[in-house]
Amino acid sequence: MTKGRAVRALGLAAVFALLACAFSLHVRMRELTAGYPDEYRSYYIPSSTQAKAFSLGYHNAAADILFIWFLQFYDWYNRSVRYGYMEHTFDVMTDLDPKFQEAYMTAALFAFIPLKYDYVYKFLDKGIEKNPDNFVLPYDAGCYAFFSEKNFERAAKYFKIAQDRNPDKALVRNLYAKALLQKGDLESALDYFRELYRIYENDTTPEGNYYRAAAVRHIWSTVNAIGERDIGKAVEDYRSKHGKNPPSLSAIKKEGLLSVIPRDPAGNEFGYDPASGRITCLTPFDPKKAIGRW
Amino acid sequence: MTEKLGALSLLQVRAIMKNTFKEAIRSRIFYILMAFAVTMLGFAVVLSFLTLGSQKRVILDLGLAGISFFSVMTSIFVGIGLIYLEVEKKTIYNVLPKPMPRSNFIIGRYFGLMAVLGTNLLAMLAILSVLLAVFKGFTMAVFQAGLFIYMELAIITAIAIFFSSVASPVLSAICTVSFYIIGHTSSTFPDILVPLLRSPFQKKIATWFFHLLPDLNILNTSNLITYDIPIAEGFTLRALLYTGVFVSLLLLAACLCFRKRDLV
Amino acid sequence: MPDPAISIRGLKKTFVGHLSIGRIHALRGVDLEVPSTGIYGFLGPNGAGKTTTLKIVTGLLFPSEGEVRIMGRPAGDNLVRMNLGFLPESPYFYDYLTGEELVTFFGSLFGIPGKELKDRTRLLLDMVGLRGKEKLPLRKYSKGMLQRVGLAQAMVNDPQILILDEPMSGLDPIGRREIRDLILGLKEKGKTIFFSSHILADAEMICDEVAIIVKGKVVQKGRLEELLGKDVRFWDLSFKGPADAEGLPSRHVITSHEGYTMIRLDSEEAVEQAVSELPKRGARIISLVPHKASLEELFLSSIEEREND
Repeated sequence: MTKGRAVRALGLAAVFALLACAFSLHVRMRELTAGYPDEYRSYYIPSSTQAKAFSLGYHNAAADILFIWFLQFYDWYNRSVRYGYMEHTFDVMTDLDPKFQEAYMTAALFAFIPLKYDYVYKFLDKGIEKNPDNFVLPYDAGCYAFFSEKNFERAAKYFKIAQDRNPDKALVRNLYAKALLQKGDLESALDYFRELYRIYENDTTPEGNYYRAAAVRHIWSTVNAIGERDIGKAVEDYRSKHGKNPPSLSAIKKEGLLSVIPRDPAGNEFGYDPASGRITCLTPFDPKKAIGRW
Repeated sequence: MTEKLGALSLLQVRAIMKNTFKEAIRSRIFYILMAFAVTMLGFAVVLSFLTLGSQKRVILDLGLAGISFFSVMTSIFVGIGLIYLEVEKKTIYNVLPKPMPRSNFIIGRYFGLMAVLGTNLLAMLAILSVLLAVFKGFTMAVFQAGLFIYMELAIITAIAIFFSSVASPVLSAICTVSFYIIGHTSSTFPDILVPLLRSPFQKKIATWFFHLLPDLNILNTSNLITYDIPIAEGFTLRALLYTGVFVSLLLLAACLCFRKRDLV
Repeated sequence: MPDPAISIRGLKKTFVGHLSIGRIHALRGVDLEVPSTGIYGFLGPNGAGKTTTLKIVTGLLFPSEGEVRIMGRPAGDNLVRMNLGFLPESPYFYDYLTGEELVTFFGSLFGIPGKELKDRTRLLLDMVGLRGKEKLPLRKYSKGMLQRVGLAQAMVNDPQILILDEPMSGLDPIGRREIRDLILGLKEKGKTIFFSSHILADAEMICDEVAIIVKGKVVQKGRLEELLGKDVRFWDLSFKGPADAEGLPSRHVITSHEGYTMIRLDSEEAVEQAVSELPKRGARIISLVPHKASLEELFLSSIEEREND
């Protein structure tokens, strides 16, 4: 009886001793490997075709797991190989599940942090190409171009795609017009602002109010900008011909440089200062007037 | 008298089915695998908190993959013993001397396990539905995916029972798992292997061969559900037939192999 | 003359090992006929081929050569099997079932309708002495109980022919007697019982006919009384008195102890002579026991014969 108990106690003690050995060994081994440079961890991710085969058909689930790993890995900002495998990981992820919107957007976001714009657009371009119905991805790309890179041409290109894919989104239409405005395509911008105004003309929801008001303000400023641009050009032409600024706007018309003198959004004439050759809108901003005119 | 035996066959198959069902629900391995599957579902929920964006997508993807995987495991590990263990434990000595063709025994065992797997699958889908409902992502398409998972299980179980009627469990397990992997990777055959061939003739032969390989991936519709993509018209019917063809083929082979086997 | 219940002709069975390496000749030509009534004992040492033969009869194995017919039809025929009951050697059952469920399950394989099956299950379990244990799972059954439930399942279809493989092995004396009584009861109902055994005492008590199989071949078969003979082979006479064998017909003294003596006599004349002579010498005869040939002797001599071949 006592012998049996002793054997059992001994056995149990041996089990715990071995567990303790394993534990302490592992702790020590972890300490030893902690000194290795980060790069040695060669995270191996197979190619897309292989990954498809390995996932045994559960593509989406595999993409999810890879994505979750991706999030945890690239979230660690002091990782020295932080951007090393990003493109490849992203590629595998989105090959496994080409409709994975969050993956495209997150990868773009991670590439944006170090301002690697070429990667941002590359990642989003793949999503835009693979998802012909998706307007969120081109919108996202447009926002990067518009707000951060300030590349309005590119922004206009992306917003155009988003606009075409979802013509009902006022947000996209508004930004597209703004990008066109910034890019200098004033007439097209004006057309879009007018369209936006027309859509929300009788809409009294907060959203409707907002976009209508925004449209009005933009129409006002765009019309002014067109006037300034056209008149300014005519003034320039006059000056190169006569060596001085035109004395009045009607002098420009007489010269034949402009067939019609543009008017401000309220339909009044622009104020003209012959000394500087600048024009100014004399009418104070008044949405009612703008609406009446345009 | 012969037609009486025909009617008897149905009763026998039913009796064996019922017995197989009892065997499974009174055995431990069934509950262990079930517990694993439920853990997997719970894990999917935990993992979903780590993602960015839609949580229900992760629960749906991982949940369906987990359910499918553990159902397949149940099917394989119960299926490989279905015939072999009866012989090994000598319980079959009491069954086969009854007025019954051996094929009835195999068919009864097969459908018995399919009934078990069906119950199992429904239970897990119900759990998944509740989880999805909690995260406001419930869709009836889960049960549609369940139907396709069940088709896959039908084929895998038929394979397991085929091997079980000719080989030992270890060998059967290896063969069945290999079949499962081949079935799930064969769809990449045209992408990976065919381009390695040079002559167009070889490519053609390889492509024909490809169509003869069992393709379990084509029965996997879980990926469509995440994006609410409808299943192609007429696909479900053909998938059911495809499953039926494979199951008949394998059960026939199992019955033929078992018909004249000496049960030492 | 009616068809024999079971007729086995020229039965051979050879087991081939994996990759055709190694051959075991389990049966080397078995011929026997089990008549349609009575108890037929199939005797032989372990490994002689008893179980192999029975498995072929029940269709679990297939013969390499020869044929088995049951009631004039080939073995394995489903119509035949409707009338067949089989109890394998030390039977194994689905241990997750209860005794009742097990018998019901086997009954349903015969297509016996529910109500009838329920009654019959109860009756059979009572008959084999398992009343009160029917709700117990089989994994809690003792070996004897398993043997009984096995017998119950073999009888679930009320078969004409019962094939029992070692029905009494592994049982205690009481269990053996109960099984013996059960078998005798079945015989009274007009059933054919074909059973194998290596326990000769049991067989000798109940068999009408026996066959002895040694190394895959039947070496003796026939009605038990014919095989053993009606004649007494010798007598043992014991008496009290002077242990002087002088003048007695046999000097073969088996024991002699404290005035009691036993001698063996090998003819009727010798008995007569001894019985008349002994009282004259003042000895008192205590007993006179005639001895016929025993199955055991027959068995052992058969084995010897075969081994000398």
